[in-house]
Amino acid sequence: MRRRRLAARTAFLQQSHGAGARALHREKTLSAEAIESAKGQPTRRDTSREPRSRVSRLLHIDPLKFALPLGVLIAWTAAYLLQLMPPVLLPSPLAVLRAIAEWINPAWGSGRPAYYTGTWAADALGSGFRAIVGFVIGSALAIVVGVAVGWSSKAERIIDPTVQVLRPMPRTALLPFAIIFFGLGNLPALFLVVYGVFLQVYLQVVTGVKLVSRDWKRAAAMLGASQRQILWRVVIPGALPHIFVGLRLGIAYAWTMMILAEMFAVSGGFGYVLWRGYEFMRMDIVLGGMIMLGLFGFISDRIIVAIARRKLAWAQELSGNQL
Amino acid sequence: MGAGTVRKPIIEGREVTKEYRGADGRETRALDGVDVTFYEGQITLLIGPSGCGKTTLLNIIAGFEQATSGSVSEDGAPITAPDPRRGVIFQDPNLFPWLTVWENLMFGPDVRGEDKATATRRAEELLAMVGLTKFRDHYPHQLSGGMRHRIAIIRTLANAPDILLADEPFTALDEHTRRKIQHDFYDIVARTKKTVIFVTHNIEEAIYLADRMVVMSPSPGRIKQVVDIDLPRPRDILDLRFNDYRSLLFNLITPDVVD
Repeated sequence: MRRRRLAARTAFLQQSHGAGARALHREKTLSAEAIESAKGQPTRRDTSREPRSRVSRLLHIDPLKFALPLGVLIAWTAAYLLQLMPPVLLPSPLAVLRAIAEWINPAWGSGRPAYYTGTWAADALGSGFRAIVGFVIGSALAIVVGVAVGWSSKAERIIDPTVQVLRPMPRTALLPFAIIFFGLGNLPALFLVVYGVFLQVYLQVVTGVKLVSRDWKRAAAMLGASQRQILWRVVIPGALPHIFVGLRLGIAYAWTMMILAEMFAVSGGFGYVLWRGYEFMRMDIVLGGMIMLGLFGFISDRIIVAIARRKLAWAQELSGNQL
Repeated sequence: MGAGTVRKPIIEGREVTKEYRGADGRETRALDGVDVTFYEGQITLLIGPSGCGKTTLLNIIAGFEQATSGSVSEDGAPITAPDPRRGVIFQDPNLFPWLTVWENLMFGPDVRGEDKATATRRAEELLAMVGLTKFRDHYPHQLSGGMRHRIAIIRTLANAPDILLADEPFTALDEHTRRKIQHDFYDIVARTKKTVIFVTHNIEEAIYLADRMVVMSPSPGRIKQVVDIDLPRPRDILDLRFNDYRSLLFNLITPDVVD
């Protein structure tokens, strides 16, 4: 049973990546025969635009995706060359690259040691640890509590009003108390990340659970499912699209809260390097820190999207869109 | 259906009244003191114009909703919640989109902890009966509308209910697909000898399927008349006697239609 399910799912995923499936969405009518043929060979229409194999898809570069970043880079270089701002305040892209290089390895730099030379690996590890561990704890809590609140009106009455009062309050406002309660180091950072991620994910989980179709629940009930079985087999799968939105918002928030904590409460990590750079007027390493944060945030988001694409194959097929 | 056979009542509604509070706070009476009996092994059609409470009555029998007053019972035991003995076929196929066809069929037997071999055999037979065996590993959205409806019907049957409750299950289908599926549906029901309570607003569908017809009238929902359909099977929609029933029902229902 399980094996078959996996096989079906893999075939399905391959199909949804194929050009055939894409052409099908456009036609709206999904005749089974058409699906069968789409499985076998891709239809002719899209082959010119869509590369066929997975590898060529990965290697394929969409120039449109790079147009805007390239434009920003050119504008930045132009602004530097035209001296619109003093170079101390707006360093050249090359200077930023150099700062990143000596951040990673002192041997690659100018030889003048600074507070950040050679600390990149430790910073990345520390920041990654705080953001990811905080994200995992925060979103796990949010899923457990959110499912309870969305499912039981009693849990909703006990928990939801408090959360709704806390939610509009900027989560960064908790920093002073985080430091007073937990001192300096990883603990206040983790606390802030967990708290921020929880509030971000919670709302999506509650929304997702509440919006699961009543007819699905009725169908499960008339087939003999107990309340617990309805929760596990219908409500949670049905709420997954919302939950994944929550996780994506949550991971971005994890990095935000982590940076804030590192700026003030941790002596290490990307946030620490960035903030010290500002204090020393080293805008090259400030920009270097920003780039690293963007990169790590992007990668972590892509990982969640990749999982969502697998888990939500049905919802994507239903809508004819990819996440 | 011979005159001599005494049928056993299986579902009984007594003085069933259902009121809803609308968004404006006003009470609407969907059912008003309905007395109705459904017999074992019979196909009973609930028919009437919009607002006659036929779907409400079906939902109460299913256990999805509770009557405001009065009682509905199965074999004398009051109905308070959904039960796998009363399988429901919905207006939309309402399959679980994250499960394959096969997983949808096995959902009921699985949650009830039924013996796997028995359930598998039954589901395989039903799949073959509707000619969809090779689609067992497809997901619902990979099937056409008609196929989804057929799978929805056999998902309910794969759970081996005693009674089938159907709520306008074929309304969304085009005419030709609907005729085909009505035929398949009757075929399966006749073979498995189920008790069926079937809601529709379609007179032709009702005469085609029914042993007995409960005609309802709206505002508030009441039972207007009970008609036994005494036609040989398989029924021919072009038959003259079929047409007699058609005009009888037309004249019963049309005056009640409110716009």
